Amino acid sequence: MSALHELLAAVRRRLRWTWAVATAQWLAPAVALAALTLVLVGRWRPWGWPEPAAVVLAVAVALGVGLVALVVRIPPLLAARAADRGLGTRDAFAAALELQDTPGVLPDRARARASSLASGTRAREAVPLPTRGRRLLAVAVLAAGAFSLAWLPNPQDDVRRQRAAEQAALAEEAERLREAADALAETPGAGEGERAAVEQLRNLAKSLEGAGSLDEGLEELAQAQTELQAGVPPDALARKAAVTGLQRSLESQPLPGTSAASAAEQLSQLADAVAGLVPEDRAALSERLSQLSEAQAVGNPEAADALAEAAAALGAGDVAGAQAALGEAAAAQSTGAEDVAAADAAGAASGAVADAADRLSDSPGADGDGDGDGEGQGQGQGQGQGQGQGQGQGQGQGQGSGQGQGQGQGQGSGQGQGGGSPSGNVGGSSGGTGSGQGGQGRPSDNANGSGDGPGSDDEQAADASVYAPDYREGDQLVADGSGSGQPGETVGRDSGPTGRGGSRVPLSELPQSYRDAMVAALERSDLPPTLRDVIRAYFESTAGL
Amino acid sequence: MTTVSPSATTMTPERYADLAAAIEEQIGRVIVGQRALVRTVLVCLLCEGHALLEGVPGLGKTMLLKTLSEAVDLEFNRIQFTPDLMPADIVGTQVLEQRPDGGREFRFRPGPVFASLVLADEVNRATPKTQSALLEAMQERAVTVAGATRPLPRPFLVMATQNPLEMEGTYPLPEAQLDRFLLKALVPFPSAEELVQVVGRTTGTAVAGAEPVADAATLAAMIELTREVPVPSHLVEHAVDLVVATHPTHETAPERVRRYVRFGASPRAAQALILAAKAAALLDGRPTVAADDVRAVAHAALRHRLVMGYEAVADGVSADQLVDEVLEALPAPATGLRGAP
Repeated sequence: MSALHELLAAVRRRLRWTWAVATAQWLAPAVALAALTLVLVGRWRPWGWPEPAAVVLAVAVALGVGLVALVVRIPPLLAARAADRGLGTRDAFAAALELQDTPGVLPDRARARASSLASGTRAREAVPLPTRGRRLLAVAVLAAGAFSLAWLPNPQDDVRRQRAAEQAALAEEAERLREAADALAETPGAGEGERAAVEQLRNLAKSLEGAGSLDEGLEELAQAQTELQAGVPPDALARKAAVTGLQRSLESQPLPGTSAASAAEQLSQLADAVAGLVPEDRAALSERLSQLSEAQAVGNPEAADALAEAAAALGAGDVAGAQAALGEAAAAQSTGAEDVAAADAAGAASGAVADAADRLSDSPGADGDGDGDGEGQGQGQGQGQGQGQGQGQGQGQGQGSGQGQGQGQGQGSGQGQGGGSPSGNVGGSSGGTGSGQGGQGRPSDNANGSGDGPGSDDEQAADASVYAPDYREGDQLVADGSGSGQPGETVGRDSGPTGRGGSRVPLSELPQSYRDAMVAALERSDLPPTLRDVIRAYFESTAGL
Repeated sequence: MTTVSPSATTMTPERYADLAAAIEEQIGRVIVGQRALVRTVLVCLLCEGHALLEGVPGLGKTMLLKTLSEAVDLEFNRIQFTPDLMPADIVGTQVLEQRPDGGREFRFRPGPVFASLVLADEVNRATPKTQSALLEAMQERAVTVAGATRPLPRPFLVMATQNPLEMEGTYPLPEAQLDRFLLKALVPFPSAEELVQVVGRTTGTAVAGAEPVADAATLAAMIELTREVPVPSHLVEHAVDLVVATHPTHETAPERVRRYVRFGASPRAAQALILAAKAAALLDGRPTVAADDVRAVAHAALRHRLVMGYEAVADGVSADQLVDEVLEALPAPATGLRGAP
């Protein structure tokens, strides 16, 4: 029986191998057909996974068959029956195996006969390797087709490379957004508004990484920018101008009896120190507070009311009332400072998002081969404000217009955006104020543009930058208020920026720079409060640009 | 308790095969050709079963059994079944005899069934009552007359014949009685060459005969060894599967079986398959049964156990054709493992 058992052990191993071969032959046509289909899909669609999936499928099936072959159950009796059929021993092995513990003449004869038959017999004789010619031929044809198609140049490769570049650009912008979020988070004294902006930037970065295409990423950015801008209150600029103006005013000319740097703290200290002021100082303080109240009337009405109330109380000699009102003013200023910080954070986040959108629009992935025709239309809105204040005689010259001694101030803006993408979408918008320029869309597959502006605006194509004279960086015009009244002589008493002009700046920087300019302008204490309202109203109207 | 002769204790598969070959050789001296028929009859004898032969007259059926009786040295009786044959003509009867002292008594006079080899010629010509008397003896291996049961000799083989041509005025055996026959053999018409030999042997002066090569004790030992042959379990299952597939309502039944068979084979068919396969294995000198043995006896074991419908008669479909379909539908049991032989 030892010969039989040795043979059956070898047959069992052999059966695992033949099972794997037979199963592989059984599955191979389907696998080859699937692989060929995947390769064809890879030539039809610009997906990156079909060819690797074909390889993975073939390898997985081979590994799976091999693993199952290792664990497939092959009892000895089954091996005996297989050997009986393979060797034509007429069930001698199976019978002997069943009778291995049965006494008797015939069982003995059966075992002896089985051992005799098994002796010298090899498993490969009992279990020949199965080969199915037609299946193998079909597999060979299908596999050859799949390999040939995979080897030939694929027209989808260019698209895949472009998509890879898009994904890389998206990942890069996502990283930049994270860096911006980190920088924003490290802002000293960051409040709830900053944290919300940071969280939104980080979520946006994650969304960008998961974006399937550049268009999708741009949509994400546009949506995020809209949300961030929506988080900025309409009166944010006015509020910032008021709060910052009060802060700077008190920094440059601290309130009597105070030493703190913060305006809110000065007001709070003043509330404690007001009782010790002499009447003359109280009168002067009342006048100062009244002026400050006027400056805060629009952007920070709570502080304005409190300051006015404090001024009135001081004027009336009501020290306790003045103290209470100053405390309220300090609280209002503190709240305003927090609101300003939140709005600044949202603005900074919005700027980062806008920058990311600009870079993505200019990224290699955005330079698709769009053959479509498009036309952008841009219109600018212009609004000029000129204000002159003069003292003395003569005419003022400079930017702006005016009579006599004074200053002119004009601001303009123009926006134009254009972008191309593989799908050929491009948008353009423009807006202009004053001498602003309207944007013009870039020809693309499916271009559209919108904008508005008055007729005096000069429209010209603007890709990602616009003509924007930057007054902020101009030389300071100083009028000392003395002169002889001769033509061409500058007289007056004022200061203001002159425009150098001629510069082209990135479009995305304009809104914020203009707002900064507005805030700077509003911070100037020498501007009449009524004029500030006009300026503020104008820039609020441009908040949506 | 069965008494085992000395021959039985020394019976081996090799001796079994040698003896069977000797018996077949002796029969071959007389019977020309018909080797399958001889093998079927011998299998029935070694299985203690009974054989039903169907063939036209003149093919040597009687000569076959007579020669077999000579080869195994057993008593042989032939009963010609006729419509007026009575049961007592088969099993025997009580006769009133006068004793030497002048008294009278009933004494049993055994009928022709009291022989080891009985040829029931044209069994379908007797009335059902007479047929039943024989079939009861076949089944019980004993005869009961006048309240006394008398065992029949062992071994006991009844070989019944039917003439398929002349059915007028006959009483075909009912299915329940056909089931009592272990195997049914069709007696083919000999080939021209065989017929030449038959004519040569039977028309001269020399009378061919068989020499005894075995006796009753030897046959008993062979019968006992036949029963001892082990059968692998999967072959028993295969035999059962074959039988079950003859049932038209079973899911494994071939389509033509469903159409032409009214009732499938009985459980006795499975017993017959295994028993005959055991004898076939030993006749081949093997100690165990193979799938080929089972399948080789399938026609003989199943053909008379299929109750055919009228559609089969109308379409000329025979039981053998349906057995072929069953064998084709159920090939020899494979391992069921992909890639295995």
